Amino acid sequence: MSNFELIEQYLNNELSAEEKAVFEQSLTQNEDLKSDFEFHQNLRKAIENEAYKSVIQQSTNNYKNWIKFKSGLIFAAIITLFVVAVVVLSYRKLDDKSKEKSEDSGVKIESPTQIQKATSEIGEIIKSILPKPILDLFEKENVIDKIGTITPVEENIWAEKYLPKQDFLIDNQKDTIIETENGLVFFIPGNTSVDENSNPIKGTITYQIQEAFTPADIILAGLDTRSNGSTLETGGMFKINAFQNGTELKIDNNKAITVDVPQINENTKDFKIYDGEVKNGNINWINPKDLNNYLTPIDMSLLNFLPPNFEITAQNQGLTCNKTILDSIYFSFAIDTNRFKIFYHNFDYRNENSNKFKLIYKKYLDLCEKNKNEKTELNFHIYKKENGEFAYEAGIISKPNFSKFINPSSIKSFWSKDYNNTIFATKEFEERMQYIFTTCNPQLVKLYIDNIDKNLWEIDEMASNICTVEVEKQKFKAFASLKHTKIKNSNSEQIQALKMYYDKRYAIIMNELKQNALAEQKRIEEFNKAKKQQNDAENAKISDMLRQEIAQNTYQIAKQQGLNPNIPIFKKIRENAKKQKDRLSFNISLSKNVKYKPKTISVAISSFGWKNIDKLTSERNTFSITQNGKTGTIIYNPFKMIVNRINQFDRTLAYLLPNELNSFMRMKNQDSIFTEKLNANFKYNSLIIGFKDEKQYFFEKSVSDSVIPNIKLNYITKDDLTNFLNQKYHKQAQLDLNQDINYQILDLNYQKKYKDYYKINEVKGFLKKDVFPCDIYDNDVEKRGPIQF
Amino acid sequence: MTNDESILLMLKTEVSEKNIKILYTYFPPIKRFIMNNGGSTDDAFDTFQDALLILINKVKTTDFQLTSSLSTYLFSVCKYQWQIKLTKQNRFAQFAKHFTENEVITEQEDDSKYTNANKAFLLLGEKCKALLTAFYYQKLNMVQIAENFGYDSEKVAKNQKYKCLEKARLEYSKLSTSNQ
Repeated sequence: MSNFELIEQYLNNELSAEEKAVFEQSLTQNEDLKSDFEFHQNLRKAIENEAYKSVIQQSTNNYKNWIKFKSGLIFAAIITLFVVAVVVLSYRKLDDKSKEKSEDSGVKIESPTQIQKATSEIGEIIKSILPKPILDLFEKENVIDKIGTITPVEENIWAEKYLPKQDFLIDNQKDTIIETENGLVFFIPGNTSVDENSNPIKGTITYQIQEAFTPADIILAGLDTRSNGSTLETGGMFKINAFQNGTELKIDNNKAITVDVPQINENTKDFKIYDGEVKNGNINWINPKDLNNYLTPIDMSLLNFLPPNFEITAQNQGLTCNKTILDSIYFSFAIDTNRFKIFYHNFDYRNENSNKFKLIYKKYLDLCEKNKNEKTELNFHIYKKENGEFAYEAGIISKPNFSKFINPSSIKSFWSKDYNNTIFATKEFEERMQYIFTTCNPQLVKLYIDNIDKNLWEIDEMASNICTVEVEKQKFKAFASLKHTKIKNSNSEQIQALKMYYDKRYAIIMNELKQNALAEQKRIEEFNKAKKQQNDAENAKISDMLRQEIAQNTYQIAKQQGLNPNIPIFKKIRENAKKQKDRLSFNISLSKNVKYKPKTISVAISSFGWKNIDKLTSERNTFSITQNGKTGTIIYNPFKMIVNRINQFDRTLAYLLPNELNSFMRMKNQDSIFTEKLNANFKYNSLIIGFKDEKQYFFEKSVSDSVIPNIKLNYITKDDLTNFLNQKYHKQAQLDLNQDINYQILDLNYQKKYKDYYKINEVKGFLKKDVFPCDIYDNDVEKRGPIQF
Repeated sequence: MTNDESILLMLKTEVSEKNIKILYTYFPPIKRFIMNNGGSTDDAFDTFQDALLILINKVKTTDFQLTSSLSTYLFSVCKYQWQIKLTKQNRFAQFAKHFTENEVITEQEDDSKYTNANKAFLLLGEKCKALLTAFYYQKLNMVQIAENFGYDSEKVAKNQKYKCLEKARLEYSKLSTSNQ
């Protein structure tokens, strides 16, 4: 078996190049050698693998043991050398914003500046390529003996050598916050560290923190979790120490360092903090102290006190807006009657026959009928939307639940930066608030506000007592069992002041909200007034226009029938048509589009016995009247104008101005096509004005053909337009036109401005259910989305 | 260099208990997976140990490059190992839906020569195993071995090693013949 030696030399790379070549040559020829070689290779591999396996097995056993002791027991924190006075264990979410806050408040935040010592050349190389935590593990190599047992070094325990040291250089005179890699946060007040003789230290000192929070860290550091012989369940261990120029420092007797430990699990009440006592390289945990389950304040701006689902509903309804607007929408519910408006429905009246409108009224009557015996109030309101469509809102006020809801104003009264650093500014209260919303019990909000200076768990218990529903009672009991106390460092004077401020604030807020709503309402009313004026003027214009046309038609027909158009009776008709404006009252308050309703015209004319004229005129179609064998005909010709690229304008209006009449008419349009009927007895001028970003674009032409295609609008200043109209038209027509154009600009601006307002108002209908979750709505009424007619 | 790469570098440098322990951070999801797919806690540990061995061999013997995160790699290897085991037990079909994709394919070397060498090694006495491990794995020299194992001289140690090798060779030959 001398092959073995040769093979070993080959595998160990101990052969010369020549010998190697010979060996490789003989491998291909000598079967025995080949077989031995393969055996040797595989054997080595097997030996290595078996060794690996046993190492793996050891790790596994240690891991299993760790799992075992983990599931037994309690929290232990190591503090050697230093005594940490307060430990706060709470849910903490320190994000960038709150870090900035800390900086604002003059607290210095340190990031670790690791100081590492390279022990060898290799260490130096490895140091340059490894991240810090790994590096530290690596540097422990020289302390581990071949087999890997842990050797205690003098008085220090192995863990102190083993665990990475995080060094923080801080100015001892300033308040400092330190956050470690595992998320421990230390608050170190200024002048905490003192020397042996209790003299405060000046200048820069080094805080050194070592921590073991992961299973791997705890096991690898060889940390023990025994307290006088019994095992503890650890929530993590850390060591904190301070030095200046290599000299250890201590904590001033009157000072304490606060440490926030990341939440370990749901039930932290059994955890205690222990001091670590080092003896003969072992650690024993002594002096258990209860943890204060203090609350950690978060900046109010980061908390959400909107009712559950409020934001989601808003989003689902396509309302995307920033937080401020969303908040203000919520707060507007404080004095809003929107609570009672149940659903919305839109349709375009112009494009539909009036049956749909009748159906809305039918729905209204049905609702009235259905609710007549109930102690409810019906709210039914038809309105015209920005886009000219009609919509209506309907709802019933359900009295029994009227008062049971969380008034947004009570939320607003504490949701402000004035209440930072109080129990309200915590995740814990946010969680409670979310639940309180579902109870609809305003007493609960008041309870928390009134007891702002008490421990949160105490208020939870009180809340549990005032709840009448068993589920709610239990929920608050569960909250209380978490034993959340109050804000650390809470200044009770500040809290008292805030408490007194609350009542005052509530009144102020209600007033503020009312003022806002009133101002908003006023703006809308003003606009509606302007709109109504314009509508009235326009209606008057239309009736005036029609009267004039009727008069003209009467004249023409009389003429054609061989009658003298100037005989008194015709004159009287014409004069009356011109004068009696008040009697020609058009019922067009809903829309200008109902202007040709036969009924309205007939009222004006019937007193003179002309049965036909009203009907024919109102329809503005070619008609003939035969009287005494003679026929008079009035011809109406269709007329069309097509505007190029109409979509680039916010609004485009086309007017027809008959030369013979001191008036104008606005043309109907569908997209780019404007249509109207021209009275053959008149000569017309056509005028088109496009509005875009407060600029006007203009086209003008006298009508000679039945179609004017490819109309291009040209820019014109407002003054030029006014001048042009003044020169061209009768005075009355000018005034009317200018008035109309001014109104159109106003209307356009209003609609741009209130586009969001309309949207918000619409979405508010849907948000109601989130704000008033306990209201019971009539299922028939509370239909969301379009109604089927 | 990522954290994963650092861990691999450490593993390549030394296969030690502490270096392996770090890898146990990745164990819980694997355990869950195996226990959800017909395995016991022990199965989970066995599979994970197999995966660790595969990883160590990869790291030690080849220019191993991670194409995914270490956790994904280990998970995939375990998944694959467990799939093989389930298949051997004819139980794979009922869990197949959880094995749709294998992010990392680990080529399973079915090398009878290695298996036989391994068996042969395990058939040796404790002392022989320890001696060969000390020499080939711990890389101790014969003087150290003589000291550790209480042999009178380096020569005796060397002789002992030779005997152990011969014994292993004999078992290896037996196994190879019986295979054929």
